[in-house]
Amino acid sequence: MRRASLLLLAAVAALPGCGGPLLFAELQVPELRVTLPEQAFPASDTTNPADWCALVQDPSTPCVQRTLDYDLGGPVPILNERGVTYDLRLEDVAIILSASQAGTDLTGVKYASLLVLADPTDPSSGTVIASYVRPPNAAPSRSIGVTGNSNLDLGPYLRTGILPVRVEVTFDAPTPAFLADVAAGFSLEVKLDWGSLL
Amino acid sequence: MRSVPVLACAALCLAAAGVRADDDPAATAATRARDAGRREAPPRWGLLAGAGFPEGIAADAVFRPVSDVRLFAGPMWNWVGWGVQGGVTLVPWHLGVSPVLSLEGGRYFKADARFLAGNAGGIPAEVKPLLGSVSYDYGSLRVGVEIGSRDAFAISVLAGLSYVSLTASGTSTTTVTTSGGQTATVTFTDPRLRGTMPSVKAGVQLWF
Repeated sequence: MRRASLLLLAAVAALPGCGGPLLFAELQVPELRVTLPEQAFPASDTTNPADWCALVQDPSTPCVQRTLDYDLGGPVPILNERGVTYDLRLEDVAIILSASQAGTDLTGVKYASLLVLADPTDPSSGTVIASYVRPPNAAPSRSIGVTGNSNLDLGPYLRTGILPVRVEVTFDAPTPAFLADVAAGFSLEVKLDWGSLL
Repeated sequence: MRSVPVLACAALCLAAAGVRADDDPAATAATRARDAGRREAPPRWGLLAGAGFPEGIAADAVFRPVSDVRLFAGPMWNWVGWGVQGGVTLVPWHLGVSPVLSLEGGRYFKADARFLAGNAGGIPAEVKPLLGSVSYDYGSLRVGVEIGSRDAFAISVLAGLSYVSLTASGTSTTTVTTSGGQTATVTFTDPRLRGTMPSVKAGVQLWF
């Protein structure tokens, strides 16, 4: 029995060497949905170059863009704490015309893509994390829904809890400016290493 | 002179007791055998009442298969709900103050903890929808001391580390103003919290 006691004590003493931190807390949120309501998208025929996806606009398939900030540090303040690591995945995105946009639909949207920006000031630093291609003979619709690329960890793209995202919409039919709710579903795992704070 | 009969009576009683003890060797042997038996085989069954973190309040039946090992199991309560827990305690040697090593685990069943939201419990009211069905599992490894007899009554104090896994089922929706000044609607669904944390336990043990 004495021997068993010593073996158990040795096992306990060896616990810190198992790999992960001995003192930790982990929050898992399988579904974290953030909706940015009434985001203004320019019309397909906008003449403001700042709204264009590229320096030169193709008149037959004009492309407009919006940069959105998903502030995840607000609802999950621990993201901004010291000793925290996290894994953030995009599960799905939906662009839904706001209720005030009666009589409008998104039939003219040929493509849409969502890019996450490594450098918020550099549009070319984007990585596509979700994309939409209008199916053939699609019925008029007030929303676009796409599945996100959940293989990409968006954690490295967070800046002080904010995920900068660029939405690019390509049209093949004239579409007026519209307001849309942009809803993104994420899965989130946050890990706090208590030991590093002691 | 009245005290003479009293003293005589007391002397007779003492003498009689001495004769009984001397004259009944079987009783003496039985007493010795019982004492020896106690030294070799302490009581196998007992009760343990304890309180600590993260288990709350617990009451256990204790079984001692061998002298140094105790197995215990029983219900627990934490003001929100009920659970069950059990474990094994190792007492490598017995003194007036004995070292104790304990490994235990338990599960709290789903309970409604919404009363903790708001001013009453200090948990933000926005989280209330997530507290309708809360449960958690835990495992603890602790060391401590036990003060008292291994055969009758003892108190124990232990400290160590616990692993806790908490699940909250439900959906909470809040509207927040982001750092950029825009409004966002945020929905959390079925969050789960797990981690390790310091834990303590104090208990009272009775053997019979």
